[in-house]
Amino acid sequence: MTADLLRTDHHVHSTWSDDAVSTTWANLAAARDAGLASVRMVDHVRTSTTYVPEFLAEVAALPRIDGLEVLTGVEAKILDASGRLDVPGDLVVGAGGVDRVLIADHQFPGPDGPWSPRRTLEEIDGGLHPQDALDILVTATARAMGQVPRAQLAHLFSLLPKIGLHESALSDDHLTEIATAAVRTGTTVEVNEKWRCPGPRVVLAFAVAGVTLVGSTDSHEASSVGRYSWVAGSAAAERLAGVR
Amino acid sequence: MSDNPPVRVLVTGAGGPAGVAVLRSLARRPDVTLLAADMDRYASGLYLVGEGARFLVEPGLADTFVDSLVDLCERERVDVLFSTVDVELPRIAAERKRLDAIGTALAAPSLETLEVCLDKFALARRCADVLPTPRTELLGSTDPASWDYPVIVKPRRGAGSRGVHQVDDAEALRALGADEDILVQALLPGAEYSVDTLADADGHVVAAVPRSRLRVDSGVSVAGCTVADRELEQTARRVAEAIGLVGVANVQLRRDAEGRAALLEVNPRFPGAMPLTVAAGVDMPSLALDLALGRPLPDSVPFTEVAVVRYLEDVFLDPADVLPAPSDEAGR
Repeated sequence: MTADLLRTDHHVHSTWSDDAVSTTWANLAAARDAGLASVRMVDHVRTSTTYVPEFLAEVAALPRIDGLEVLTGVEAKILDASGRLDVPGDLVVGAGGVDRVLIADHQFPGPDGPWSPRRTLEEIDGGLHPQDALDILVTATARAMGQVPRAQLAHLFSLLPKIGLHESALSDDHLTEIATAAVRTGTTVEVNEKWRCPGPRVVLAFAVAGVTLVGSTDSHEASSVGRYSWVAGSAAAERLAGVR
Repeated sequence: MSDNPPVRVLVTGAGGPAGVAVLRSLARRPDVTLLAADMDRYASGLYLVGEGARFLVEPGLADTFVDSLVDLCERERVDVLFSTVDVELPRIAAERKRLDAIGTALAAPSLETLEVCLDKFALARRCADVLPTPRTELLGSTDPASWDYPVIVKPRRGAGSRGVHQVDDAEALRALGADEDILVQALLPGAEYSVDTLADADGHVVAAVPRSRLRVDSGVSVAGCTVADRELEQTARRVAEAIGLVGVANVQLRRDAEGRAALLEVNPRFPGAMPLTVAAGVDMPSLALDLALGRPLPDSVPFTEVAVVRYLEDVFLDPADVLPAPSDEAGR
């Protein structure tokens, strides 16, 4: 296993994202001060993004800190039910490129493209069964993991409250489908402080299935890097898996 | 938590009095999570919201402003966006469909309403037949000899009192040239009122709250009073109907030589003095939020007469909590 997930922060945004305010340098110092063993610098992309090589060069040029692993990532949303991702066509993942692609549920991955939460609610009101909506979301997520060599699921299921659903509506089969795909593809799953997801049931199921779990603050400013409160509860659930 | 997650509301222009007024109003609602944005890291309203909910955005006139704001709304799952910045509003309203597509409702009047308000010549034309409106012409196409002096000259577009001045005779008006972007308007000699006006989704006016500005410092009302005056209320209602208002606008009226309430201009956004209207019983930011969420509004909301004097308030912070300056090396 990797380090205790509370000593990781695998989702830290810098000024390469329009809406974040801290530099990669400030985030690195914050990760050191928080006593992290591993930090992943992540910024938002879409198909039209061109800054990734410069971002990677900047992170590569950061000073080394003993005992602190520095990784990179880009965050992109799932565009549709096929699991297509909103990433630049020339994105390199792995050697010479970004370490992982963070797969985000910013919108519902509808069969014809992204659906806003409101559109999704309308579809559910109009007859789309909630279980079918969950099937689409889960399958799109599993498919997305196969779209890139190395992935991480960002704030998994943070969409559910927005479409009037809760993780408790997910079946064990749904969890198995995602866990199986994650293990097969080597995809990590983050436990996200900002959006408080996924919950302990999902975390425990994934830990038992052998999914690598990492901590994530989804920080947009350095002061919150590596600072957890809610995630600590889910981390306890992960430890339970060890005593089983 | 599953059934009714908090409504996530982003307020831009968090450094201005209007942004702060909206934030303070919505902070009282337990069902709302507030996010604040401004281009300036010292904007006080940023520090009225939680630590992870403060965002620096590009200036409203930047080329990529709307793109980055839409991205921000998507990532932060913003349910309702309140813009309190004049220069942003029409640009954001023009992209309302993009916001709708990602699930963000814009709490602002329609683009058509904004455009007619921001073009004071179009506004005067629109309202001339339905309420007392001072004679308004374009400088470039009016005969200076045809006016009673003094007159008011002001930019056709623009906010606040910028560029507004009085001209005392025809000779001085002639000397100003023939700029089509300058208006000549008959001087209204009487008292001035701001009427905060809220119309529901059908354009029905739910409340019109007249305020007198008893003391103004640098364009901001620092002492004022709500005024129960049916004529002012009715005039603001007629303005709202004429411009197709849905949401909140600030209708500025002034009494003419006959003492009738006449139209000066309309600011199609929240005014900085909104806390007075809230204190008088009409919480317009909260009602505007319900409107944006598609919830029903009451048919009418009454107000009481209240006076206000205002003072600066302080927010004290750990210096480390002040947002860092945007760095030069960041790629945007």
